[in-house]
This record gives sequence, structure tokens and C-alpha cells, in this order.
Amino acid sequence: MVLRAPTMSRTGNKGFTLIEVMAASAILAFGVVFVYEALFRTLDAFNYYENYLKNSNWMDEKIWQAQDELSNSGVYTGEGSGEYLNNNRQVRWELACGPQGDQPGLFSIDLRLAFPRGNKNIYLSRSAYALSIARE
Amino acid sequence: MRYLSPGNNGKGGFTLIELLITASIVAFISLAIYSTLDNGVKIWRRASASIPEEDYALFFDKFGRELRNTLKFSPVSFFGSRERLEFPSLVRFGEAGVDAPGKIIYDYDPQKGALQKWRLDISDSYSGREGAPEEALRGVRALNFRYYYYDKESKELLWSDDWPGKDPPLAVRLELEFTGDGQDSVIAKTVSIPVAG
Repeated sequence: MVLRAPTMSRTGNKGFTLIEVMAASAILAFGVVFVYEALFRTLDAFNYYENYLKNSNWMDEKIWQAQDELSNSGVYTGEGSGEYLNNNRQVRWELACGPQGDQPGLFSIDLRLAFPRGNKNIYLSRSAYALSIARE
Repeated sequence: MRYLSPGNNGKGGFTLIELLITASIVAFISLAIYSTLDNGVKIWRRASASIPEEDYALFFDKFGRELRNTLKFSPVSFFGSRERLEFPSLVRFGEAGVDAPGKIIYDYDPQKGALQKWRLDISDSYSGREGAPEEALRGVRALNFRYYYYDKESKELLWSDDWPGKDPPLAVRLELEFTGDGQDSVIAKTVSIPVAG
């Protein structure tokens, strides 16, 4: 018999050496780590998207109110910051508006939302302009 | 020929220590496999669960586009009540996406909990043929259209629940109540109408 299994040719012992097994498990571990990393990033992106969806409509409405008030009276009388509950999560918001440049009657509005997620904060922000109009 | 490993004393079989070690290794590995699987199932459930806000965001996008495209058009008047809204707009007909002037009707059906929508071309809106509606939104528990206008007598901006007027109001707000994630939520969308005022 000339045919022999290739592993037998080196030492005559069957099986893998310790080095071979260690190298193989190290490569496998690296692969698993990268796959998990990809999965966690995907989940993070999904989470951000979900939170964005749940809060974006509220932001649109807030911006609309500020725009409406600024364009009709030229002053924003609403609150500048506050908190509300969305999905049992406390969301803090800040709204800043002021004149934009030298143009009279042009205002800029900045709305910023922050809420904790895990051990870090997620921020969402939105900006808009408002032009005051006179009604006869 | 003996298949079982000969023990220390030359007897076949496993020792108690060997069995204990094997049992603990099996338990440990199956725990690890189970927790990985359970995690995967949880993630899969979360990712495939529907988010009601997603449907609302899409609907509001279309609704806002139609309402912003409304025009002062004498054959079709702007009519609104708490649960019904009719207005002239640029209507998209067919799957090919041909835009043409027409009339859009939104009507809330409390029995089905659905917001129904009709898209009519000019001749249909003249003859009053409404045809079959399409379901624009479902799972709506309550709904209210409100109309924003400038009152010339009191010189104030006011909200009204009805809009019998011919011309469009300054803005339309749609407030709706739905059940999502096992709890009731309220969502509102305000659309300003550029041609009004």
C-alpha cells in the first residue's frame, strides 16, 4: 500500500497538532467576532431608525407651530425646552429661534431632541426658516 | 477486543468523575447554544415586528403632498368636516403614475376603523360617481380633521372642525388615535396650504 492519509506522513501520528488546532480556533473566533460586530451595528441602525420614526412626526408638528407663530406675530411665545414621554422613554427637547441674518422678518428655528439609549444619548435635530407676513 | 476503555482496575466503564465532567460539559454547551438561539429569535422578532409609525409616516407624506398640491379650482370645491375631506388636487392615476387634476376624498369609516380614499378625475367628480374606495390607513380608532383659517372680523387665526367654504383653509390638521405596541397613541400632522390666504 502506497496510499496514506496526508496527516500520517509527517510524524506518523494521526490527528492535528496543537498549533494547527489553535490557529484554526483563532481564525474561527475572529470570524465570529466580525459577524457579531456586523449584527450589532445593524441593530444599532435599526434602533436609530425606529426612534427617528417615533419622534419625527412630533418634531414636524413642533416646527410647524413655531413657524406659524413666527410668521404671524413675529415672536415665539412657546416654551424653549421641555420633556415628553415617548414609548415610556423620557425625551428632552430644546427649541431655539431667532432672527436670521440682517433680513428683517426672517427667523431660523432649531429643534433638538435627546433621549438616553443604553449608556449613551441619541440626538435628533431639525432646522427650519420662518418668514413673517403681514395680514391686512 | 474491548471497546470500553479499561478502567484503573481493569474493569470496563466510566468512573464517576468522568461522568460528572461529561455531564457538566454537555450542560454548559447546551446552555450556550440555547442562549445564542434565543437571542437570535428575539432579534428576528424585533426586526420583523411592524412599526405602526412607519405606515403613518408614509401616509402623511402622501397626504401632505396631495394637500399642498391643492388649488383654487371652481368646478371642485374644498369641503371638510370632522371625518371627511374633499379637495381638488393633482391626482396620480394608475400604477404608471400619470398626474392629472382631479378630486380627492378622504372619509373615515368607524366600523372598519379605516380611512378610505377616493381618487376621482374631473368627469367623475362632476357626475358624482365615486366608485370603489381604497384603504389609505387601517387600525385607526378615532380621527379628526381640523381647519385653520384667518377670521377677518376678529382678526385672529382660528381652528374649526368644519370647512364648508369654497376656497381652501390656511392649513389642515389631521389628528388620529391608534393602538400600537399595546398602548393607545395619538399622532397629528399639520399641512400648510400654499395657495390659501
